[in-house]
Amino acid sequence: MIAALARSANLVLLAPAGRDAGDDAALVARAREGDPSGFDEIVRRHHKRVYTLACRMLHHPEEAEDVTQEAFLNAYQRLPQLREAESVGAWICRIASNLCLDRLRSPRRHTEVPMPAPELAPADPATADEGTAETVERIRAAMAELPPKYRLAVVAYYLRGHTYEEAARLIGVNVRTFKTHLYRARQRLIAMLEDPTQTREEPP
Amino acid sequence: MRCPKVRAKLQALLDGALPATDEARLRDHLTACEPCRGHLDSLRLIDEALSTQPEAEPRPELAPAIMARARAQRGRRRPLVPVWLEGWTLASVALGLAACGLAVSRFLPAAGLPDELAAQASGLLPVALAAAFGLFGMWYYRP
Ligand SMILES: [Zn+2]
Repeated sequence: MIAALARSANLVLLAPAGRDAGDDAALVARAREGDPSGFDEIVRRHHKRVYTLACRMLHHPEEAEDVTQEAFLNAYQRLPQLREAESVGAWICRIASNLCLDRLRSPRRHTEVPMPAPELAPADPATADEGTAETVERIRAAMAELPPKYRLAVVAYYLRGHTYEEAARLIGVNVRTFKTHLYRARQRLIAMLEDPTQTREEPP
Repeated sequence: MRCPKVRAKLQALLDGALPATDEARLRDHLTACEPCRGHLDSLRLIDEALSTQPEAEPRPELAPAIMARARAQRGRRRPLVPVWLEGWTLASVALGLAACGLAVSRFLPAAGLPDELAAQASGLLPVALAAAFGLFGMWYYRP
């Protein structure tokens, strides 16, 4: 009894993804044993985050849906290969990140359609005056101009948690590389803020 | 401290991740240097704009669609072997097939094939078998 309590306390403390990590491992185990409701619950729990990541990367709702579906199905097929079952959510995000990068780098990709509300909605009007709201909107729009791998670093960092280690793991790069990408992304965003003309390189 | 060095450390200042001595030197620079102060303000704005973004709201159909597709896929491609065996199994089966091919091709001349054809077959058959199996493996375990 005491041992079990200690074990569950440990699980909570050591859980990389926070509160649900222990449960996530159990869900993965159920799905591996062939119980489809285990995977259903994984989908329910993590699809919003994966979709948000894809939206912020691709700025295109339908494409983001496609990537989300693809990432989950991919994960489903490769479930037996997953080592850290407790971080299944981060793993699916990593798969989605790679799918997004592939799409962004594909030469056949059409020009980006600006994301409709609420994803690019201005900040909470109650807390922000008009000038700030406009700046906020400009920053979010400038994200679309960043090179894909820098954009991914920023998206991962602000997705949840805000720690370098977690974000780096989420997109499958080492922390050093991650910090470099995040730093460069921020420098570019600042440059775009200070000189809006350089953000718009209109394609012919 | 010069401006470029200061700017490389400003984010750490925002994140509260700077040693106290660095922080004091940075603050000294900032009181004296307006462009760097502007830079810090921009970083702050960026932080705020990006951390207050609302989570995207997927259509309610998305999750059920994923579940349905996963269920449809179930059992269609159950792994033949444990994961850790995959690579080695494929390699050894390919090798075995190649050996069989070699053995079979040895007997081809006896089967009454013209010598020239038999010689060619004895070279190509094992390679072809191994390649075919390798391609099948790549298809089966495609990402
Ligand atoms: Zn300065």
